[in-house]
Amino acid sequence: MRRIAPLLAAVLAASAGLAADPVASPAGLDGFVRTDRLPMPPDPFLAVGRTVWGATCENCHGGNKLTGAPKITSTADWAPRIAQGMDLLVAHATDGFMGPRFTEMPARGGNAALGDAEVAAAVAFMVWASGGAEAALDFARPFQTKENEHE
Amino acid sequence: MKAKATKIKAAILCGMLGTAAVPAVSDGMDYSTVTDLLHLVMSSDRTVYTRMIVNRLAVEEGVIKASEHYMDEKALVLPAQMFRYGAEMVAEETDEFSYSLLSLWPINKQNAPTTDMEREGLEYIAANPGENFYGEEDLGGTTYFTAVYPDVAVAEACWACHNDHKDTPRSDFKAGDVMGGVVIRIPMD
Ligand code: HEC
Ligand code: HEC
Repeated sequence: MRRIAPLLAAVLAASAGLAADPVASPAGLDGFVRTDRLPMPPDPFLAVGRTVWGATCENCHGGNKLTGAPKITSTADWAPRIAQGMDLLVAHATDGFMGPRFTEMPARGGNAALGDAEVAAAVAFMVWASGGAEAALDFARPFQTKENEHE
Repeated sequence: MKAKATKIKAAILCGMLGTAAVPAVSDGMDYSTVTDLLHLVMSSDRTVYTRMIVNRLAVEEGVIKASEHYMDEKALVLPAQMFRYGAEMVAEETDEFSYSLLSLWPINKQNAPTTDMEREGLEYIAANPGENFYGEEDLGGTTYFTAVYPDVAVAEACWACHNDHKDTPRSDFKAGDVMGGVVIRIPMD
């Protein structure tokens, strides 16, 4: 799989704003991670993502090893993925994605009722909580502007 | 998680797993260590079958499907059938242990829990993601060590097929849910 050396992962994670979210570490939080153990992000788009994540993504990304899903808060799991860029991550989460060892990320987390923006917000929240605070906040900014324009 | 001094002869395990004798093992092992190792083999094989056979050929390449009527439809056997046929072969070979794939919401009524401990274990793993269940039960005068491990909806094929199946008692499985459990039982006497 796309695993890189933990040290490199830690360096990448640190440069991506690890200090902003103390829940992130190479191995991530111990045990199964539910939303109540994750901080509330300082951004309304990411806050929506937190709710969506808890309802649909947590089941696998909370640390469900059997599924092969990268665990939220684990920078070792997430740094190489975050390095691919938010757009690819969002596309994989929206359209579904089969990893090189045939582990399956189902389209919209298997929840067809989720809208594009909800999926994107959930991805951004997961990235934010997994060592990619900077990438996530950058990604969230345009959504903020759009919302402000409506008002 | 009764870590009593309940040991099982290492020879049994080595024979079953085909491993060379490991020194640390010669004192015997806790029952839970034995069931954990057995489960590791079973779940790894089940996962490889689901990912490398079903997901690869049926979902990714679309060259063949998996069906419970695999003979008529010249299809792959379902992951659960693959598992059950293995368990049946083991049952013919030994009574040192037995295993099965059960559920509180079974398509096949024969896969429903039949003992109180099976039910308790299945309820426990459904309520506590990532955790296993261990206990002891008396059945027909024999005491058994019984372990229950979660079986999870890892692929769209799992919940899509179960939710739509004519015999399913439950139609709201979603990605990552515990759909049932692997029960492993070892007689202790
Ligand atoms: C059935 C369990 C499951 C659920 C539910 C699930 N995922 Fe995933 N997800 C996976 C697996 C498995 C992978 C890893 C696939 C691989 O790379 O092998 C993954 C990978 C990802 C990735 C990384 C993709 C990449 O390119 O590396 C993102 C982003 C993601 N999921 C987002 C989400 C979001 C957002 C949700 C909720 C809306 C969600 N997932 C729900 C199983 C799941
Ligand atoms: C194409 C349909 C299909 C697919 C795909 C499928 N199943 Fe099943 N499953 C069945 C049928 C039919 C049975 C009953 C098999 C038997 O014992 O004869 C079953 C049995 C089971 C059981 C035992 C309880 C019961 O319902 O009888 C579990 C647990 C289970 N499946 C989980 C899964 C998981 C997890 C996956 C994905 C890895 C999966 N299934 C994929 C159809 C399917």
